Amino acid sequence: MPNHDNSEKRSNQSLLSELLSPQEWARIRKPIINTFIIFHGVLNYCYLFNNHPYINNINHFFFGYYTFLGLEQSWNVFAPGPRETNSHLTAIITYTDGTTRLWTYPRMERLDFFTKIAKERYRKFFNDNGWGTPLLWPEIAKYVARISYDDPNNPPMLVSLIRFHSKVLPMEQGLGKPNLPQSEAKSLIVYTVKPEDLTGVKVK
Amino acid sequence: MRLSVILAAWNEFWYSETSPLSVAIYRILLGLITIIFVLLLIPDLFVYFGSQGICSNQAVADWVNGRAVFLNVLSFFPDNDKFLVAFHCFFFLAAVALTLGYKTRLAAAACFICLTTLYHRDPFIFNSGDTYLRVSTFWLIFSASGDALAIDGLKKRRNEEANFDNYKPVSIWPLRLLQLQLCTVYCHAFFCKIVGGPWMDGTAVFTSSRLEDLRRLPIPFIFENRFTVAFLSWSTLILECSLWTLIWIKEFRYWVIAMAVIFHITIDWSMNIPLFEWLMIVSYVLFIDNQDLARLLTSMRNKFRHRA
Repeated sequence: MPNHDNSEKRSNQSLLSELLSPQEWARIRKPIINTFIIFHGVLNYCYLFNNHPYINNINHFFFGYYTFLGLEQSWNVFAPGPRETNSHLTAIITYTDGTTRLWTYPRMERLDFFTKIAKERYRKFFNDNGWGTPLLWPEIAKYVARISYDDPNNPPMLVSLIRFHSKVLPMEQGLGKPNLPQSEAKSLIVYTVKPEDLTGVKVK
Repeated sequence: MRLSVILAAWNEFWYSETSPLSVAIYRILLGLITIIFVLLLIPDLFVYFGSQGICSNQAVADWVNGRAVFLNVLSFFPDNDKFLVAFHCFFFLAAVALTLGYKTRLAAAACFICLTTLYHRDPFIFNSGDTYLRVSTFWLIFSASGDALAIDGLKKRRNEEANFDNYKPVSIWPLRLLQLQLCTVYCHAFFCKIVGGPWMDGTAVFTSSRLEDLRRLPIPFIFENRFTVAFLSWSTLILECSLWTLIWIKEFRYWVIAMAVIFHITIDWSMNIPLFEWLMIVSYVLFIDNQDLARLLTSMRNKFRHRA
């Protein structure tokens, strides 16, 4: 078996020598590293292959540690299969005087090469997470109200979020054909804007 | 098999020594990607994390519902946009320090804390690439990545001949953790895909190519032909399986890596998933033999000197 790392011992010595003698450190170093490796290896396995009640219990027990450090991970992108819908978000803002305005969430397919790289997180936020998380809908509505607030005498009163979507055709039907238009509509929320939602907004 | 043989193999795998060169190159590349990560967030920083952004602190707290406490430096001064700007500047400096190898472990720890903070401030905007960046940075804290190609390393090598193949050996276990992290990605992706459905029947690549919000640049023909679509779907499974199995076998390693690089560049060309593909590609350096890396760097340096 090769010797332990001498250079690392030297680099750590100044800090460690305050706490432990070199002999003490040499004695406990390997058990500490082994514990660290096995602990995280087992936890990773349990998080990734959580398919048994016992495994679930382990995850539950160490949930606090793992989530505190943000070490939880999952690599099931496009698995078991890719998502089968195309969608986009539109908002209708109704102002106090009854006028309306249409607002469209950034659509990646309509952005140029560089802009879509910078704006990709918009896609992640709504297309992957937002539309399926009702808790976020009032948040999006408030945001839309704030960016649409350009006249203090005529603030936004209502924000309606509508998701337009279409199914991706199965390969047998879709080869060589364009995608279906995103014409199926679903109203997510009609949000009544409160005065405190607009507090601190700089009117353009 | 005897227990002593297993223990010897364990010790050989985790406690042998290696040059810090591969993990140092990985650190530089990961640092550069972290810098790009920071810069890409700037135009919409307040939209993602600001006090009047698209997702409030309260919404994240409601979503968590008291299940856990999160590492989130921004929670010290919630809804304070000036603190957010200061935090982001600090993150940028930490990423630069990591790239240059200045106070390397500290810089890696700072980058990890910043990445985790942003993730916990708005977890809904982060993708798999961000998760990989975060977790890899955590493992990088434990590595001796500052012992080569770094400002930290310069101090140690002041009196030695500066060659790429004579770095003092370091413990291999942090490198093993980084290698296993990469393998974990492909292993989990593989097992999630083979349970059935579109990857097994060979149609998954067609469906993926039809997701309009993920399209980047067009590739003619191959996504519109049932044979190439099936070939690519099954090839993905074979490659993902190879990347946590055959990559450990020296004779296959470079072939597998070459195929994986082509695979990820193709995805990056056709799909708009910024940074993820490049993170995967730079991670393959962890599997490249240190002597090969030293030869490559020496050759590059000689060419540069010759031109200069």
